[in-house]
Amino acid sequence: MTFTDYIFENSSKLNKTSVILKNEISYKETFENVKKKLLL
Amino acid sequence: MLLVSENSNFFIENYFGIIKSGVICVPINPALSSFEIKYIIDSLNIKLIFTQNKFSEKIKQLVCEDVEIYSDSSECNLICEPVNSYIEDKDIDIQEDVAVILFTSGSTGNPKGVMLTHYNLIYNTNSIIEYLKLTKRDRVETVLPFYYCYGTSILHTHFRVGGSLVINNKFMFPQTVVEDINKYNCTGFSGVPSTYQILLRMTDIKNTKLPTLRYITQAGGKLPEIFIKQLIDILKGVDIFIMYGQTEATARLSYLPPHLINEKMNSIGRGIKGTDLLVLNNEGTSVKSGEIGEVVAHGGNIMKGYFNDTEETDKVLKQEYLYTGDLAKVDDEGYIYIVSREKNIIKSGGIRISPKEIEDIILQIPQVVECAIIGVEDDILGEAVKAFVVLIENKASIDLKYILDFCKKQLPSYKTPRYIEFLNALPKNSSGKVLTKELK
Repeated sequence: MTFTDYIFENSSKLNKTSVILKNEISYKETFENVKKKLLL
Repeated sequence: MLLVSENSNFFIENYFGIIKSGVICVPINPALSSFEIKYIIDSLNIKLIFTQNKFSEKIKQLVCEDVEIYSDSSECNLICEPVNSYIEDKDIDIQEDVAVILFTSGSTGNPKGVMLTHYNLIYNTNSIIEYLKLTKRDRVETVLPFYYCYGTSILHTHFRVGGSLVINNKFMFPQTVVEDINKYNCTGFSGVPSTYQILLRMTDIKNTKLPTLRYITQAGGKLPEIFIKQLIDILKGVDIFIMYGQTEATARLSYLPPHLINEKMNSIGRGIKGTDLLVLNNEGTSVKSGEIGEVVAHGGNIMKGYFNDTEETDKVLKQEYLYTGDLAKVDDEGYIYIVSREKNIIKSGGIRISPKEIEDIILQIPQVVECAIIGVEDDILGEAVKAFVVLIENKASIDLKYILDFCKKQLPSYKTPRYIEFLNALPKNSSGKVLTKELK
């Protein structure tokens, strides 16, 4: 398992965990953006 | 790929995205000098850079035309059809392949690139989660930059457990840091020594109730005892983790269990799970109780080496053991007490003096916020002790003589500062560590 797979391994089990950057940005949204970047 | 960003969603997306794509991510401090950034770009042969808009002009001036730069506003350019060059996970050897290179300041002048593998990152993240007992219910306020290994470890651990991060990039207004703990119901907070010294002496934290706070962590150097005691006094019911680590060990090497903080005051604890932390003498054997030796570490968190620098790597990595350059003692139960970094020890008249001992004394003066001790050239002694002192703003009712008399009462004459200089602030890097090199 790579590091990022390890980091996001449990993400599907999480409901809505937030990364709070003053204005909230959902964890899911961040992960979706990460997936977009995979298309590099 | 280079990542130039302050703590932000931009950093998080691109950091994980770059690593996921099978490329090495090199997050750097945007405040590095142009010379240092160019050195990193050239030495790593960087061809693609992700940068926040605010730093893009600075970066553009440092690179050739063949280097592509993407900023916040150019994200559309990144979305394209899947290409064959995408590296499947199965192609990655987690033990060998480097995921991240973090740069640390080197004693030789140029920064050194610490190569961390996927395995290093996973190994250390697991250890930290275990002893901090982190869960998805945890929410940490972070003032430490993500390009610094301590800050990176906070990002890793909280994403792994599905917890949350509250980013505060306004530490120049320290009261906002205290307020945000309550505003966002934070369960954790992390800082280096100067973080806590400033919070304790320049904010209203002593009179603020922090009901959601479960734990705090401190690493990045030794927090003077007087501040540890103040934290214990103020943060009743909060677990205080005194920790120790290095970028070369991914981040963390040891912690002191919170329930031992009084009994083992000033100790950095023992090695974290899976990491052997030893203190060895010049003969390479473990020191006896009270004897001083060098801290040496072994475990899955130890770096692969410095990028493109075999000579420096060989100085610190010997038979898979990391020689930290930190001097320490060990008590009868194996708890480690850092004395000083070897390079910071003052040699005065043939006697070795730990700057920390003198700093701890001066910091007992309530009007002092920060203090740093260095050795300066002396024709007779070789080195003499010099103190740099920062006083609480507008409350400076003490002078040089007061500090000198205070020291004379508690220190032998050879440890009493020969010189004292007042500063408005100590020079620090972006992680809050004091830059003693600049004081010299």
